[in-house]
Amino acid sequence: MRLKKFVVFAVILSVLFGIFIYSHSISAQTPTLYWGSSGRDVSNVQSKLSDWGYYNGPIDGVFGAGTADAVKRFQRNNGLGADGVVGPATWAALGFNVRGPATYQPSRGVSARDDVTLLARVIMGEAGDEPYLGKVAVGATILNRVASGKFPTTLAGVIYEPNAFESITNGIANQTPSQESLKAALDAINGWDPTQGALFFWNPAKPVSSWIWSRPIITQIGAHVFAK
Amino acid sequence: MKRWWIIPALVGVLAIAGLAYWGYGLSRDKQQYVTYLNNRNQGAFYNLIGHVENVEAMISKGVVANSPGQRMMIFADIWQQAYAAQQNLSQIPMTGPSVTRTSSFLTQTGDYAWSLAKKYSRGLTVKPEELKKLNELHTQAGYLAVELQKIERSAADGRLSWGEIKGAADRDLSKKVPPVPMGLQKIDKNMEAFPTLIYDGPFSDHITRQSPKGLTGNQINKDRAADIARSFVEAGTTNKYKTTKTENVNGTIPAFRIHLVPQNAKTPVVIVDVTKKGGHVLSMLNTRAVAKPKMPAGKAASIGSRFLAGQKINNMEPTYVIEQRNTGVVIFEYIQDGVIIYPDLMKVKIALDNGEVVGFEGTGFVMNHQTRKLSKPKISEQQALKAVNPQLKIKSKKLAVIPLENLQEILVYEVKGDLNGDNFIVYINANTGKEEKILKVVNTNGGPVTM
Repeated sequence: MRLKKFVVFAVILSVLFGIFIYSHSISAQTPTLYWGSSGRDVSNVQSKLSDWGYYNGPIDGVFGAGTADAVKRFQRNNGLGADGVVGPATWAALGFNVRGPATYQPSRGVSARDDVTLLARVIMGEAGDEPYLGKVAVGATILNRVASGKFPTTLAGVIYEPNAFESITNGIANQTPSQESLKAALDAINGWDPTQGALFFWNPAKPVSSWIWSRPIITQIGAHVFAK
Repeated sequence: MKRWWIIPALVGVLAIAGLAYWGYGLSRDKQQYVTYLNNRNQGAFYNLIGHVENVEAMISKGVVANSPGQRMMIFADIWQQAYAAQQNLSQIPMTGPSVTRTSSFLTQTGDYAWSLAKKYSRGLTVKPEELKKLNELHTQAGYLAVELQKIERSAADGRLSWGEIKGAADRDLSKKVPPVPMGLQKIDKNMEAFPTLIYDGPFSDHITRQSPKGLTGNQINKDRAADIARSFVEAGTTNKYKTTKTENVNGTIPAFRIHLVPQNAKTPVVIVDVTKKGGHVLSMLNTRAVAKPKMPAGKAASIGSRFLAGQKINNMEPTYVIEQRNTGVVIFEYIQDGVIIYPDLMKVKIALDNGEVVGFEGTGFVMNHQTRKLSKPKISEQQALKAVNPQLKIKSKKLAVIPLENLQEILVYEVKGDLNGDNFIVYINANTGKEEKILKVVNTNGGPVTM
C-alpha cells in the first residue's frame, strides 16, 4: 500500500513539475502576438493575465476574443496603448525578458568539438590498432579530401560518402573514440600531416581494387599505404 | 489416450506458423529498407541530372549576360547549382573507384563561377580568357548532362540496374546487368581527358601543384638526416635519443622519416621528417601521453621561442597559443621588416607537464618562405581605418602579408576589433584600401579558431 501511495505521489509531483517548467519556458525571441496567434507564447501570456486577474478563460494557447480583451484591459491599466497586440512593451510589462532583434548579441553557435569527435571516431574505426602516427595520418587524409575538391567539401560529407570508409559502412565507427584517437584528430586538425597530402589509404594485406594501386604512393605507416 | 500426439502436433504447427510470421516480418522489413535506400539513391541521381542540366544552362546564360548585376546573379546561381550537383553525386554509392574527376569538375566549376561573381561585384568586366574558360566549362557540363541522361534512359529501360545495395547488386550481377554507379565511373574516366581549370579559387589545380619555395640547400643522405633529427629532438628535452628506423616519404617535399626513442628505452617514439634537399625539419611528433599541466599555457610561447632560436630559426614571433589536452600549441609567424608574414608559419607544441617540446610543424614555412620584396603601402593607416565598420571597437592594428584563396599574397593592414564581445579581424588592402577579408575569432574548448 505504501508503495502505491509513493508511486501516486511521484506521478503527481512530476506532473506538477512538468507544468512548472512548461509555464516558465519561453522562446528565445518574444514574438509579437495578436488575435489568431497560437502556441506556448500565447499560453504564457494567458496564464500571466489569469494570475493577475485580467483573464478568466481557458489557458489553451489560442489568442481569441477573450485573450484580446484581457490584453487590452491589462494595457489600459499599465499605461500602454490598448491595441490588444502583445509587442515588446507589453511583453516587458508582463514581466518577461524581451530579446529585441535590434542590438548585436554575441554569437554562441560555434564549437570545434563536433568536428574533433567525428574525425576521432573514424580514426578509431579505421586505425584503432595502428601506431599513433598512423592515426594522425588517417585523420589528415580525411581532411585532405575535404580540401581537395575531388570529394565532398565538408567533413561530414567526406566521412559519410557511401562506401568511402569501411568502419562507417559497417558501423564500427559509431563507438566512443579512444583518448588517443581524439588526440590524433586534434593533431590532424592542427595541421600535422604525416602523409603530405594523401587522399587515399588502404591496407595492402586486405583485398582492394586494383585501381587503387595506380595511385602514386607517398609512404607507408604501420599497416596502411598512403597515396595521392 | 489414442490421440496423445495431438498436443505436440499443435505446438509444432503453432511454432512453425510463428516462425513463418516472424520470417515474413523480417523479409518485409528488409525489403522496406532496400526500397528506401534505392529511392534515396535514385532521388540523388535524378537531382544530379537536374542540377548538371541547370549548370549547363546557367553557364550559357553567363556567356550571354551583359550587365554586371545580371552576371553576378547568374554566377552565384551556377555556384549553388554545381554545389548541389556535387552533393548529390557524393550520395550515390560507388562500388569501385570513385568519381573524383566528375566531383572536382563540379567543385571547380562552382568555385570558378563564385570567383567570377566576386570579381564582377567589384565592377570588373569579363576578360577574353574568362570567356574561353566558360565556353570550355559549358562544353564539359553539356557532355556530362548528355551522358547522365543516357544512363537514366538505360536504367529506365532496365539495361542498367539500380542495384546499389549489396544484396540487390549480387543478384543483378548474375543477370549481367551493370549497376548505375558503373556508368558514372565510365563517365568519370572520359572526363579525365578534359583540361583542368586554373583560376583564382581554393580548389584550383595550381594550388595542389605548387612547389615548395623555401626548400634551399643541398641533398643530404639519411645518416645526416638522422643526425639533424636527433639534435632537433634533443634540443627540446633533457633526454638523449637514438635512431631506430629511417623511412622515405615521397610527397610534395621528399623527406626522410626518422623514428627515435630515448636511449635505454623503447618508448615513447618520436618521429621526425627531414627534407632530403637541405635537411629542413618538416615536422616532429612525440607520441607520449602528456600528464596534467604544471605550468600556464602562456609559458609555452617563451619555451617555443627559445627552442626556435636554438635551432637558428630567427625572426619568428608567437602569435597565439592553443591549449588542448595538456599541451600548448604555439603558432609562430615570420616577421620581415616589422611586417607579419602569415603564409610563413610554424607550430611548436609544448607539453605543459614538464615543458618538453613534443611537436613541431613547419611544412607551411618550407612551402612558402622566401625573402619578399615589401613595397611601401600606398595608403596610410588612418585611411585604412576609415574603411573599417565604425561599430567595431579597434583593439590593435599592424601591417601584414596574407595569402588569398588563390595563394596570391597581398600587403594589408590587420585590424583587430571587438563587437559586443565577439572578436573580428579585418584585413584592409594596404594599396587599394579595399576590405579584403573578415575573420571571426571563435573561442572553442580547443582554443580560438578563426572562421
